[in-house]
Amino acid sequence: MLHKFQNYFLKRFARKEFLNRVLKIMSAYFLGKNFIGNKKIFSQTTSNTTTDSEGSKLTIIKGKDLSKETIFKMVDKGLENLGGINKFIKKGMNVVIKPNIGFNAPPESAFTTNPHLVEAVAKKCVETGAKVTVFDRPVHTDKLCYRNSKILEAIENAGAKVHYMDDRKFKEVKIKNGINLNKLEVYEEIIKADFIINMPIAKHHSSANLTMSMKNLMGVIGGRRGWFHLYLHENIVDFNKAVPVQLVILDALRILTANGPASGTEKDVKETNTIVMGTNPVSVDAYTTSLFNKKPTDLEYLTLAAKEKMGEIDIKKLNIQNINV
Amino acid sequence: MKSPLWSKIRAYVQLLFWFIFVFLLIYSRDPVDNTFLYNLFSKLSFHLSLSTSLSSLKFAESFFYSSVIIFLTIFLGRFFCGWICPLGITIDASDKKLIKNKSSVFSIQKKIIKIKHYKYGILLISLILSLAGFQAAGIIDPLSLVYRSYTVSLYAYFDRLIRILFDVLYYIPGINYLSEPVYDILKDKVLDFNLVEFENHIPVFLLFLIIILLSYLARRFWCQSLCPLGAIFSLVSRFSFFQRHVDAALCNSCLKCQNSCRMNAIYDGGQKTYESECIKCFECLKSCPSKAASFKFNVPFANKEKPIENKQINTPQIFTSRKSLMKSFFAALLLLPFFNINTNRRTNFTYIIRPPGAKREDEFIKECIRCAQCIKICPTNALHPIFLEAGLTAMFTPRLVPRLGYCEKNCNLCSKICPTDALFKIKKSDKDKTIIGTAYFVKDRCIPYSEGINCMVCEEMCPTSDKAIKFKDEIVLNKQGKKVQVKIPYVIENLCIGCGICENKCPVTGDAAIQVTTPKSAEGINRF
Repeated sequence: MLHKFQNYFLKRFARKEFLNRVLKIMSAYFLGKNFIGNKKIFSQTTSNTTTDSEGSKLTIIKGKDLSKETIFKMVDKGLENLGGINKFIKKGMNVVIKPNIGFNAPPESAFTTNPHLVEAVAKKCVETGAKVTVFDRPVHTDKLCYRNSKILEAIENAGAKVHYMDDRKFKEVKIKNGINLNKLEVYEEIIKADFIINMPIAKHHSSANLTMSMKNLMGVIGGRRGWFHLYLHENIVDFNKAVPVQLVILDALRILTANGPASGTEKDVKETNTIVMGTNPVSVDAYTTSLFNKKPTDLEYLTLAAKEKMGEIDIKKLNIQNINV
Repeated sequence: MKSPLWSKIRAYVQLLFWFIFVFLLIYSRDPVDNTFLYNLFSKLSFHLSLSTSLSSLKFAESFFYSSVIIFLTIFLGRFFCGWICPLGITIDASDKKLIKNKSSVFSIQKKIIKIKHYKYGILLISLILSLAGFQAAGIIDPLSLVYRSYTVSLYAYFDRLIRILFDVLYYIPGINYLSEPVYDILKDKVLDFNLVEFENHIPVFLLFLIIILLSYLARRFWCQSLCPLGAIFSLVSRFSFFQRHVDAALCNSCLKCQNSCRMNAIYDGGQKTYESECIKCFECLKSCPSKAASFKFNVPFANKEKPIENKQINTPQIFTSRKSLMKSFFAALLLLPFFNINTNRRTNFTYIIRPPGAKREDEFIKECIRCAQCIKICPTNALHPIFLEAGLTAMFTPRLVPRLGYCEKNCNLCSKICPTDALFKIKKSDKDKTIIGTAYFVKDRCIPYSEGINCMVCEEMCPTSDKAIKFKDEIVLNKQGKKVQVKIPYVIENLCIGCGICENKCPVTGDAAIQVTTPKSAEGINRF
């Protein structure tokens, strides 16, 4: 029986030719893997979010209900107040929107960013003629999370590009003055992007106390996610040093006040009908704590970020503009 | 029916059914609303319905579907094997590659006719074992086996191959611009959600491989002499109305049909047919040069006298004798005491977590047909077939391995797709009441306990609405021997549903610091 197999293979490939071919493919692969697949990139991204006058400017939009029309109107008014989307995004730019699609749950449970909000913002960006990509690195299975959170539908409606994160595409980034980390694996699309919009949902989180825009960046960081939960607060600050976020649109339409990040029930969900927009994630997070009746100093990572001079966390010193829709 | 075109039509229909089978297999994944089509193939096996009914002493629902096939068999003969069976086409396709030497087929025929009745013995053994409570039918039934082998080995291997191929292309400069869009389409349409891999894929694949390689002995060796479902069909198709006829005036006994018959169903110089063996592939119509053969509807046994007239020609009878049936009966009895060999009785047993909705362990083993449909549909790759971890009687039944995948709370697909009653049909909203296990901490491994560093990943992940994992502030010694205050997690057993996400996401390298066992209240064997 064995010689039958041998004959079969020898007839197909002359041995030398076969080996030759294999060697060629393998050498191309290994060469390519060393150049393209090399995770190290030697340029260093630095966060350019900290400009005091701009950064402490927040726009708070309150809506009357959670209907799609109201949310679209809220986004319109909010972006107008910030100076219009054209101030940030030019035609042909590479825009990344990073919502929270972390969990396989319907939008009503407030584990993930409101799909209407994602749709409204993505549509605004697409209208400027930019190339818009939306993605997250979910905790649960990615396709289920995208679909059941209804964000997949929203992205498709807005005409943006749906992207599932790919493990091969993380690049190493060095962090200057990191508290706990000196390098991180950051997603390639984030490094390539011209403009990053962070769209978290505000909710209770057992180990970080509250999860908002700063913690949301864990979704573009590679490596073993569990390990970042040791010294979590220090790491959250370091994520924000590695990833330059230019605009934060925080979803506080429904907030999860207890049992976060992903086990609350209806009674834990509070409808606050609020969207917070700002350019500095630290200030945005600092204001949002007030929706949970907490102080910014209750959150260790906010205190750390203030110490590192990454943004203003004193709510009294923030330049807050309220809009009602 | 005389036209040689029929053999071509059959081949295309068979291919069509294979594509339907593979399509349903690939798309038995998350958005499945109506599972009727997706698990239909395993409901078509009369052998499985019979053995499930015998082992659980309950009327199996799948009788409704499998009886239709049996009913059709009365009219059409063993058509299922040649036209529909996915294992049949797999064997046919590999036969084309394996059987090169066609001249040897004729000499094989005399030998194989002597062992063709083995399938009746296997059927009898499988049914007796079912009656004794061991669902061996699931292991060897072709429809169970083919779904299991395709899922656990072939599709998983294919998935891996494609991913590795495109990985290689991705790293070759210049090519990845072309290959990546193709890869995106494949990932969306053909491949699984994520790279899947299964425990015990080797035993599953080996069993499949043996069946394929048996074709070295003769074409469709499995179908001719071993398949228990084929045995049922051949028993029924003895009385079928649809029979092969040879016009004696035209036939010149060239034996071409006899050589082309993959089931070795033709004898007497091409003139006679074992109706119990003919799978209606119509290959004989194609190979007959004088167009003497045809298929007609006839009253069964109408021409039964003829073989008696020609008794001088020594034609072996296939039907098993009383003696050989007794042999297999005693073989089954002899096998019975060996099936409860289980060296993991006292240890590993606590880690055999069944999918949500599973019945009590002993009932579950009797009703599970080992088709691996739940294993395929699980979106997190959490379910794996077991081999001997829970003893022979539980071979190839599904098991949740939390370290490899967890049970998604917002999902009830496995219980939805199960073709038998082994898994209760549970609703998504009932998932938080369906207890499949209980978690406990391995405190020596747990980071807050042993190293004095806050971690809390398990508490964060816990999906129950009042968290089953809670934490308290405690002062422990860290690695430097200093006293530090950390959040110490602990499990509240009444709230834990055993979904295993804590074990899955535990950041500790190697074995998790929190592990899921069968529910504590269950005392080993009773799950509810």
